[in-house]
Amino acid sequence: MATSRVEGYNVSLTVGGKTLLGRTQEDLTISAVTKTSITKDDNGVQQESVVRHDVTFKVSALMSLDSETTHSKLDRDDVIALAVATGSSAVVAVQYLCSGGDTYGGNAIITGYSESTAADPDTDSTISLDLKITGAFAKVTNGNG
Amino acid sequence: MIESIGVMLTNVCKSIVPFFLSEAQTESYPYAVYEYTPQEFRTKDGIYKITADVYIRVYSEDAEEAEAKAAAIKSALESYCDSAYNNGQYILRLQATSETCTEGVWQIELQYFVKQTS
Repeated sequence: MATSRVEGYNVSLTVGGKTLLGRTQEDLTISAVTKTSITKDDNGVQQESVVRHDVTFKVSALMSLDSETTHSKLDRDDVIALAVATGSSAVVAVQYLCSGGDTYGGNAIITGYSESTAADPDTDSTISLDLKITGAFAKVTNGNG
Repeated sequence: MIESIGVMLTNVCKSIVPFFLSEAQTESYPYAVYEYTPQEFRTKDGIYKITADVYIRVYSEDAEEAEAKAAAIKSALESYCDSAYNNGQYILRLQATSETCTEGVWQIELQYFVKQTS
């Protein structure tokens, strides 16, 4: 059975249909939220059951501004606009794509945004975006076709 | 982005003094050799900058000639980087200079930090 190693640049997160401009890293974390229970029938051994999953993303990118009028990617100003949105405007559709693998999607809220800028001209200015899935995070397309 | 620091250095310096990568291909003085190890920096969409510590060494049997050639190289690189032709593609920063003489051959070393952005 053939296997293939996934290169990081073949994995991407789209936010509202666009990737971040200058993205350098995208991290997905799925954490199980468990419930502990014990009955007399468990003979003193606690039982754990998964009640849901917390799905979060962290995207890091160079701080970039897009001079294109088409804005095919999200630049720094676009991301800040998303990060400060409230109410229903704060919910964005995300898709997590892996070339050759399955694509997953859901709705997310932005839980954090940060910038890092230094006086040193050799240090790149960067931005970082944290997102959390609200509701289902489900397979959208199958990588095997 | 394709790394082109060596091409730029050669284009700027070859009219000043015979200019070679790593090893001289001449037996007559003066000449200069340069060495560097480029490092690429990537986003997921590709390379966005390349940096390198560049060492340019000017050799001559005459100290004044070596100093004059080294000064001309410094001036030419500064002028190129400030020129509209460069358009910010290369950023050079002179970090150190040193001068030594071995068996009657003078060597002046110029150490640059070079950043290529397009």
